[in-house]
Amino acid sequence: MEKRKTTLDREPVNSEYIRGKQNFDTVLKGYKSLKAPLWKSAWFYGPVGLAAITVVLSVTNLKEDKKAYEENTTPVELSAFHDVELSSTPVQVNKKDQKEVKEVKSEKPKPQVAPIVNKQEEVQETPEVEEPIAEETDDRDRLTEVVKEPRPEIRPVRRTTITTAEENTPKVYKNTLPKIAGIFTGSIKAYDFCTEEGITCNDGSKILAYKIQYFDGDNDVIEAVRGNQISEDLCYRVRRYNINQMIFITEIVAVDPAGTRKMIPSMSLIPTL
Amino acid sequence: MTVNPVYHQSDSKLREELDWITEAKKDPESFGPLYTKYHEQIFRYVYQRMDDQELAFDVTSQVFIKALSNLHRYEYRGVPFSSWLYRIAKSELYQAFRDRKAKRTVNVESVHLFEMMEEFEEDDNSENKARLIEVLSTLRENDLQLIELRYFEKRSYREIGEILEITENNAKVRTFRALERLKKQFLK
Repeated sequence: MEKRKTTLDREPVNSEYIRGKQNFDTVLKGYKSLKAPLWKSAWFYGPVGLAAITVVLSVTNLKEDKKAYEENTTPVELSAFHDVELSSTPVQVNKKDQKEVKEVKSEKPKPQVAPIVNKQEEVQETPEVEEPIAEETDDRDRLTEVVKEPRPEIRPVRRTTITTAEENTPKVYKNTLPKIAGIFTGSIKAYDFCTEEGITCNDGSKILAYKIQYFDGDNDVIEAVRGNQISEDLCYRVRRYNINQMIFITEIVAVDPAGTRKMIPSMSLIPTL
Repeated sequence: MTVNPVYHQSDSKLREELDWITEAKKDPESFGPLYTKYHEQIFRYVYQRMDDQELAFDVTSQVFIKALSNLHRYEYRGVPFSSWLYRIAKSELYQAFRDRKAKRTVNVESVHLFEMMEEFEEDDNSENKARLIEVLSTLRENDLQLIELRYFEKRSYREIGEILEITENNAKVRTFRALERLKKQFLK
């Protein structure tokens, strides 16, 4: 420090004068301007940072789900199946669409091909389907019911094209993804397609019903299936007529471990040898 | 030596001051009474060490702004609030010497010089006074600070200890040594 200045007998400052110079407002103003703005404090970055991360993760997750869902473009969703109240009512298929009804009872595990019973009668008259599905799914020996509905022309249609039917479509839970032998969409070995586990879910949900669209040798058909199994008969037809052809599994209804029923994303698979 | 009445306060005054501080921690506008009470003291402390009166007022305001913004850190330790303000003032003062190029000034009154001559057992003549002023201007900052606080501002050792963040005994010892060094330089 440089040499300091020394003053002898400087004129004293009057107390009144000092008091007159007091200005608490200036101090308050200075304090407010000195105070760090909220966006500079850690208290701001904690919650805001977390919120931002949450939003980013949510958006990313939603995009992935949407992409996966759109990749698995569902075929025309039959309004008949939307009417099915799986919880308490039997399968009720719209009469005008219904031409052929197949009912298959398969008992798993089974060494040989499951017997297939063809009935040329309306589902509403079928006594077996009156039973609630919840009971069947809990049972190891599941009843797999197939309702075969030949359609004149089947063309993959995106959900957005559906108008009135869409309004009644239940909400699709995109976080639950179905899989067969670990595959959700794309190519699958025909052998893996017919796995004993059937269709499973990534979050432990159980499949209650689904629809499968495939080529049966003559036409493209849609079958409504109860349970998660892919019957031996279906496997046979898939192996015989659908190698390298896309199969759509749509309107998959599942029940999660908490007991909530939900519609989960559709699958599109290409069986290969 | 006279005693600084603002420093040596009764318990009730200290409790009242503590209430103001508690209120001011919640609401800065409640800092007003503390500002009114200590503004003059802090200004005199600052102005004692600098030449520019307006700058001294500025520094004083800055002391209270800093005090207000750091009030949440203040802990009552049974001594007047002024001790904490003096510490801030000391820091702001040195900041002003660095940043605002303020001139460090030693303000001496004739009566103080006379008292020091008595302490040194020397004659109170103009030659000795001039000699003492010259020695004061070259004294080490730490020593000058102690001399100012004790002999020019008449503060108790307890108060000096609080301002310099040392014990009362340490303040006494350091002041004695500072005076010894001043005397040695004066008699040189």
